[in-house]
Amino acid sequence: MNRGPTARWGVVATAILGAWFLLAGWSGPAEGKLRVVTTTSDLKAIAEAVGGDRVTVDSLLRGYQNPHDLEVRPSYMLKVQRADIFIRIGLDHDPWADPIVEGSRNRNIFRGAPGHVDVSQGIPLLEVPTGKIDRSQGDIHSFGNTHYWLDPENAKTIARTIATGFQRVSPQDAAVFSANLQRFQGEVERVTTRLQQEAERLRGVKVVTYHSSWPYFAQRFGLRVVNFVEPKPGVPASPAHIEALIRQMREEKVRLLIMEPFFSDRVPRLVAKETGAQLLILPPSVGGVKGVNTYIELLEYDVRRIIEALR
Amino acid sequence: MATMLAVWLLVLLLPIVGRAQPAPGPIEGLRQELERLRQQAEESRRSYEDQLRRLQRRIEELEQAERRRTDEAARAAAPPPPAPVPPPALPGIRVGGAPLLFDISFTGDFVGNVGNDSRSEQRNRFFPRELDLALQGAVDPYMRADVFLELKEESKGEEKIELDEGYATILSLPFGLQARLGKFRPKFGRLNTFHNHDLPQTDRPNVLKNLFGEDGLSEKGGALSAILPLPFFSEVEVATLTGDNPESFGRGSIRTPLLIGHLKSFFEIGENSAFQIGLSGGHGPNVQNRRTTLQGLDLTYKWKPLDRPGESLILQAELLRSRREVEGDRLERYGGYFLTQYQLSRRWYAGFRYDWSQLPTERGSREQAFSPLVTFALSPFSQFRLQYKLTERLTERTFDRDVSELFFQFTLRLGRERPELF
Repeated sequence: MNRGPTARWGVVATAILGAWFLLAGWSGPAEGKLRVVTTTSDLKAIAEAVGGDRVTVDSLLRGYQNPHDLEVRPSYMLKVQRADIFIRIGLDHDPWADPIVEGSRNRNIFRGAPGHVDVSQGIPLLEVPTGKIDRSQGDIHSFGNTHYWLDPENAKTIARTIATGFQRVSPQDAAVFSANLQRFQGEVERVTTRLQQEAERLRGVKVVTYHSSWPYFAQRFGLRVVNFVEPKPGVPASPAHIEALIRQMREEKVRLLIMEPFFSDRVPRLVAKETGAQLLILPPSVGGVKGVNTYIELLEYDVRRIIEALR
Repeated sequence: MATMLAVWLLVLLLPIVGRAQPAPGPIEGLRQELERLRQQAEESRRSYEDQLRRLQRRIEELEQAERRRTDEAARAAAPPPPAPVPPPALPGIRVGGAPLLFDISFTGDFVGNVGNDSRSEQRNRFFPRELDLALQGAVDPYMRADVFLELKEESKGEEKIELDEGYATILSLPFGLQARLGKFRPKFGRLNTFHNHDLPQTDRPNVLKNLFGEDGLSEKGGALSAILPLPFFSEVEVATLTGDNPESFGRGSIRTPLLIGHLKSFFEIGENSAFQIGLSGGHGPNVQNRRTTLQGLDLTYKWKPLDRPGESLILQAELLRSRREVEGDRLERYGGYFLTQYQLSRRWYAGFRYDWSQLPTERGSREQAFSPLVTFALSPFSQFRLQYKLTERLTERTFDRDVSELFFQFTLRLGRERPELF
């Protein structure tokens, strides 16, 4: 039978559309596990602890990346397109997650959907701004400091929120998630108590940090953060600020300067050299340095590095 | 201590001694002596009681100080009292006590232009190119809206307000589709979706200005897009638009719409680099009620080490072909650009762009331009840019003298920081 060009195009178009609908409906190998995507590596570590062998977890951010500086790549949309659960720090820590989630076209993880888990719920926040908030205060977090996962007490709350999200989406595994949650919370409790005893001599020790990433950690382990290399959040240090910081550190005999691995160490090294303080590059996130692959390992690494630095 | 015991012994023995019948002379002396001893004992007792009270007060003070120290240590070790978790998304404007649940931001883009381009109406001027008010947020659980209103000075002293974009996005349709409806910048090439203040240079590349005008292609209509089910990211968008753009189309009718299609694929090269390729096509009626067909290829490579935010490199190129039917003729024009931008530190960027383009309506004419530039970002919310541009134009009639322009650009932003898109 001799078909005309219109009929031929019709067949081709039907074949393409048929293949398209089939592939679009295909969701990949399920293996009975929840597909979880988190914004940060810390949430990935906690989700893995709570989910155990019932979940596969991927993180958008690597532990050595600045969470405030993520470039939205189209490939991230592909990553979350088939996710059952999307877990985020929330507040204004990861606003870049919104175009990724919306671009993914995955309605299961949109805001308000059962698969969208914001772990900032129930967290007592520090540095909550009062009064007028504007950019004269730098790239300020308008809800309060968002680096709350660095307090182990908050990590227990985060784990509970994640477990609730898992149970909501996969109620048949609720008992497993509940048992894993208790195990994780117990381990965090034990390790924190031990680390607090080891860090008893840190209580009241003055430190300077690059960015305000450490208030929750400092509060838990007794450090006193007296100033920052950044004069205001997200604003690079000016010569006048560096000079004032050096003077303050000398006067107050600050012996330790902590910076995150993803900032330039040019100014911190200068300040450390001028003041005699020790510069300590400390990861605020799991995966920030090699060998730190779990939340417990992050806590132990950070506390022990500070103790060693002040020895 | 021994003295005290002796004194107390005498005091106790005194009544017994008093009951005896002593001789009057020595007894009187003894009584006086006893009285003296009693007074001494009384004074000693008072003195010891005072000392005891002082010691007790001191002990209490020390105990209170110790309690304070213990309480402070306990407070430091204990978790802080739960603070109220703030309500979500406060954009700063309240209506009837409730926060408006969408984002508001304002971008000001000011450009100074010194040069000898006789075709430019804004030559030797400093003017607000765009004052852009953006309203963005969720309409309901299924849809979001993005509205960009612009106040701009188009020519000397003439300012006008226009809708640059205003559209709704239906976030999730069956089969993974997504739709846009309203006035928007269709995905055509790489830079068309960028507003002027978001461009990596002060001005739009010559080929895009020649084909779409100073502000690029922004049209009314609808678009449907989907992520293709492939192992790498690949997205296709098809748009049906009214085609008001006067440079290439301009018919402005929904009965004979402008059709735009765009396919882009994105590949990660390790963690620090990525490459994107895009193919674009457009077909619609022009002002002479004949057809204009556009084809485009865009390539972007970006290197941005994840652990070093202060460094990045962009290499980008677009090639375009325009076939425009006019009365009794068909004009075929080509053009393209190549740009690079290197981020030297958190604040400093250096870049260069090369333009080559045939002019759309003038036969045998072409131009090329060289544009070095430097950008200083004071913060994520304000930046200054200096760009030099040397343009060489060759027309059929004459070889234009070179056009030199120096641009100074100042951009500021009020509101939330926009996520950086690849």
